[in-house]
Amino acid sequence: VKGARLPKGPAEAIDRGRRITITIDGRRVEAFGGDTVGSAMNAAGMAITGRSFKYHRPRGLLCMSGACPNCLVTVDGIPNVRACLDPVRQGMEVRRQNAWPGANADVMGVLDSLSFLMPPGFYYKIFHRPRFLWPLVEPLIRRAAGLGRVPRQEDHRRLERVHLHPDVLVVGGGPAGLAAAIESAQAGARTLLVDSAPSPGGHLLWVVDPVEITIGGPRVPGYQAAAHLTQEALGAGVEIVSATTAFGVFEGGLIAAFEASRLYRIRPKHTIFATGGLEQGAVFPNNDLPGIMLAGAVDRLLHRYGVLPGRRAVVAAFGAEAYRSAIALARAGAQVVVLDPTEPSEQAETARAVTSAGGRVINGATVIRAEGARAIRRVAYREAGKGVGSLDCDLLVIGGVIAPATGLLAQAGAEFALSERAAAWLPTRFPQGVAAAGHVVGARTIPSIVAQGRVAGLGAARALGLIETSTEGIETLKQAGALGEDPVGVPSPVGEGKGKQFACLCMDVTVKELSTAVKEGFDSLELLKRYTTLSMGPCQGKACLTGSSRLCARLTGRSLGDTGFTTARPPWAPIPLEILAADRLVPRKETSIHDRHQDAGAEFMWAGEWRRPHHYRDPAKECRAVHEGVALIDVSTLGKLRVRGQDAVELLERLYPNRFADLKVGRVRYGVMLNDQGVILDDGTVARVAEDEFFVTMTTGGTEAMDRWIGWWLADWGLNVHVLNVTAAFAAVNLAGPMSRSVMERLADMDVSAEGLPYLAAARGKIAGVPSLILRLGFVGELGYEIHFPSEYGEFIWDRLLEAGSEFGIEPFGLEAQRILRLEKQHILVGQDTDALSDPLAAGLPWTVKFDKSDFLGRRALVEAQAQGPEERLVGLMIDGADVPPEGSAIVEGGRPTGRLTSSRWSGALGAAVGMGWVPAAHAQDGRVVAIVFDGHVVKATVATAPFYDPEGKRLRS
Amino acid sequence: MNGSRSPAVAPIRRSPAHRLQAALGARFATEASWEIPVSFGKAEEERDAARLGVALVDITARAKVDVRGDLEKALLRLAGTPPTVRSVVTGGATGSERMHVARLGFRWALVLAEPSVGEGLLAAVDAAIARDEGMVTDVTGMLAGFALAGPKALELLSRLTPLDLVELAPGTCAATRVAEVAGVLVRPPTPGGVVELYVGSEYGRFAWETLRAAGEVLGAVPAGWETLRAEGWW
Repeated sequence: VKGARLPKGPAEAIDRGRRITITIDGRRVEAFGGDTVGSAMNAAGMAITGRSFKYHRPRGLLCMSGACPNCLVTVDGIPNVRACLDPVRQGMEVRRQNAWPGANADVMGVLDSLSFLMPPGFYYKIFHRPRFLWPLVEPLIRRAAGLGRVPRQEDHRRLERVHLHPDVLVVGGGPAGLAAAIESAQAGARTLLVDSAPSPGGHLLWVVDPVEITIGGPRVPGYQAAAHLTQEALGAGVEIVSATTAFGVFEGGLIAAFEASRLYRIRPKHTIFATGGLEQGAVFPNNDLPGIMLAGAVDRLLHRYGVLPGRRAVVAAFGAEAYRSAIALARAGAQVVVLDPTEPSEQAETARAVTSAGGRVINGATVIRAEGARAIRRVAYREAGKGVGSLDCDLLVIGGVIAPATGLLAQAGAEFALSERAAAWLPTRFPQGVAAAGHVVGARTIPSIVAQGRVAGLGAARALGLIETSTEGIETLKQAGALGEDPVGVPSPVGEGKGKQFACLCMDVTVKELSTAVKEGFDSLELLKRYTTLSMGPCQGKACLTGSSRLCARLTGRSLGDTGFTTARPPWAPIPLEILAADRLVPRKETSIHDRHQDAGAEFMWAGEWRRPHHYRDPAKECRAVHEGVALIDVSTLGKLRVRGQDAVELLERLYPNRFADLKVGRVRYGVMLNDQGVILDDGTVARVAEDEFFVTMTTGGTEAMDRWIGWWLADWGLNVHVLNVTAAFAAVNLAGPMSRSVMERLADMDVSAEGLPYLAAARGKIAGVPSLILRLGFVGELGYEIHFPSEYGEFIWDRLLEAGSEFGIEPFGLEAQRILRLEKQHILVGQDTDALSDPLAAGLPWTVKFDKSDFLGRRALVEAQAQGPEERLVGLMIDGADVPPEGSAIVEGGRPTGRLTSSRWSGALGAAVGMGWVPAAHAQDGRVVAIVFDGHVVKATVATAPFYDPEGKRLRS
Repeated sequence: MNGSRSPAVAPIRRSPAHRLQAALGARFATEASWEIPVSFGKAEEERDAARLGVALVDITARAKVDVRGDLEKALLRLAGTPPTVRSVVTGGATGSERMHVARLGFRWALVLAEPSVGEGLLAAVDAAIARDEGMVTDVTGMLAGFALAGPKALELLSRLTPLDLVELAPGTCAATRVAEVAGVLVRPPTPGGVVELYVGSEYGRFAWETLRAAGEVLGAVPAGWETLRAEGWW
């Protein structure tokens, strides 16, 4: 009979005065405050916590520490919650997973007897012929296997991300971690301790017998010692963050941890890993039956939750921990038989304690098989010199097989070597700023664990320069930490008899499957892992890797040292994806006129990080307003640089192939910037606003890259010039159309006539009283004024321009209209019409290149390109018919692709589809007809090397 | 003649987050042509947040001047005591005690003052720095500014910046990333819990929304300039 609640014990975590009701698969289960779902299930006699991943075998509580896959349940719709850790809450609904119609009687359990159909790597091997079979079978396999169902409903919980920067981070809140944190904090270091358990103390929390923390010190019950250490740590100023799991070590010493709704990004100066040890199971037939538990799980159930997990217990003892459980079970009223593979003398004292508590010890005995259907009911064992025996039981405890929890330490870059004495891989070298203490470095007794913790804490303080370099105290502690340890038991790699022997509980990988895989040539641990999925499940090898390494060594005939272990990678512990995405920010840029666009009903689009109006109404009508009246577009997103200094001209002469030395104050010139290969990086205008000062504009998308580009070259060239990215300082609007001058005349305090402010002029003045820089440009092909002004006046200027233009029918236009208008003029868009090979000679911009300049970025490459002549040319294309081929369509000749269409739009002004595209240089002749292929049909287009609209530029110069 | 007309409406300057604050009930007042949020209508709540929690105040209207170049002598002239890198000093050539000079790098400083100082600040800084020493730029509208006032200001920032905030003691400053965008943090050398955050004005609305969202669990409330001034920080 499972689930008897015991009388109140001294180390209980439950509050018997607080009753909580939960439902499990619809059944009401009574629990106490402080219970976990797992302890409540066990107390209610529910041995089966769920069904296994592949074979749907019944599974029960195994580790009670979150280090195995056995108790994953769905809680309130959230799958894969660890029942053993999740505290009960009134009204919570729990469902056991991967079973139908229920975990106790699962129809899919039939798969257990069909395992011959699922050899290792079966998805590579079977159901592939005939070919139609796999698409039919795959969904069935996916449905049959798995771990819960992803919830469909949206989760609107607020999740946080927090950055922390302690001097010392201690990972692990057991005795080693607490001791390390105490020393570190007492030395003056800002010390943070993160612990995955709800409260610090580690395994001391469920030790009720007296223990000594220091050699010769007072003996107090373990749980009291935990409380003392915790109080000491808090008193020393340690910040303890409980229920928080460190799951990865990343570049630069970044350590990531999470709790229920928060992601921590921790950048400590020094890190101490006190991650403890991981109890391991043993491999024998039916080693996965419910009722088989690790010693730590039994201790937790007995002492923390007051639950007796079995009345007839067999304890497979590989170390002192197993005897501690055996004694506790016997004292709690269970019939206990200990199977100890060692000779009688080795555990004599503890064996006597078992006997005096009413139990029995069989020395020289090893478990070879478990028997039972839905729970364990008998254990078979082999006794040295006597043969095989069996014991009826409802609980089999595996105790004393403990592997150091080295995952995070390995991620941090520690080096490891196999310790024969500890029968484990132990760290031998640590990276700078990293230390470890306790079980993770092989310590087993409490005094040595604590002493190691103190050494690590003092070492961290010393490394931070907080304490003197005197090492006397540390050496004394080191000696204490190096005290002799209990012998480490190692179970046999395999058992005997009939039944599946699981090497990996997460993925249902058996010894037989591993053996098959090795025979197939997958004879290294890393290959075995990938082929069989060994250790790739939710526990990430915590529950199986030690045993698997031994198995692999045995199957391959290699030593354990030669077998090694698999590479440690984050995450060390399962983490909900929502936590990884916690508070993910998506920065967005908005101009100071954004709200006005919204008011006007703009449809927005992303342009890099910018939100820009795509259109306000029909883009064709917006184009017509530009051509026939006056219209306004927000171009605040243009990149803007202020360039000033005595070498400003020299800087621009080097950056651009164009010439700026002769640019007069008050004039603007177009330019492209090139890389060393002569490829176009960006384009824009350069306005000279003073003898030693220029106002440079760039494309919206290219600004940040070009700012960095210029910064790099400036650092190299050492010119006396200052460059400041003032993109956000100035809002900008382009007032365009034949009536734009009339609008300007109503607002400007300057002469804006064709004579006073001619095409490509730049002038400072006030618009509606706001100091502005006005550039006479014509990107959209009409008379236009590009007005730059302090961005905080954005709405004010926008409103004034609309007011002043109202009598002329002014209206805003968006990016789509701008794209049509610029295409009519064959003005290129860098990045759309050009690519990573486009130079200005081929792109139809040879007039921007001044070869008579002594040097500029890309000159050498362009000289070579000019000598060879371009292979392709960027040209305008007047497209036949009413269809607009999509951008990216192929330009073909004789059925073979010869070029590509880079831009295309319908032009209302021209009454035709127009585009730009790359064609062979020989085809770049006005009137040449090319073919464009899209959607399975072909249209003809005529090459035009001059602008389609106003080719002589009279309108924009007007 | 062109340009002879004077504007019929006085120019108005607004923060990028102006409308978001208006939607929260902000009351605005005009100061140096800026519409600044002076209160959100709950003076007690704002005061309590600034004293016990964290209050968020839009301070975009602060006058801001960017200085680049060889700054040692220039900052000596400007501030009296030239700040070391990552430090902030108060006072200076404008005669305004509220002027703060935040030296963000060896060749980069930011000068901050009350909105009313306005163009006077630019002129003062320009006068203190010779043309061949550096470049002075009015960046008032380029940077949106937000004051985080109260004892939980750093706790709020720890959710948004990878910077070790222990290094952000009173009288220090840092150029860092906040809410995934480039930002400047300034902690004036005055007692109290005010931290000033400046980001590019194009991120102004985003930053305001992000600060409010991150501050929700800490009980952050939007507050106006009246609170800052009443608490004696400004």
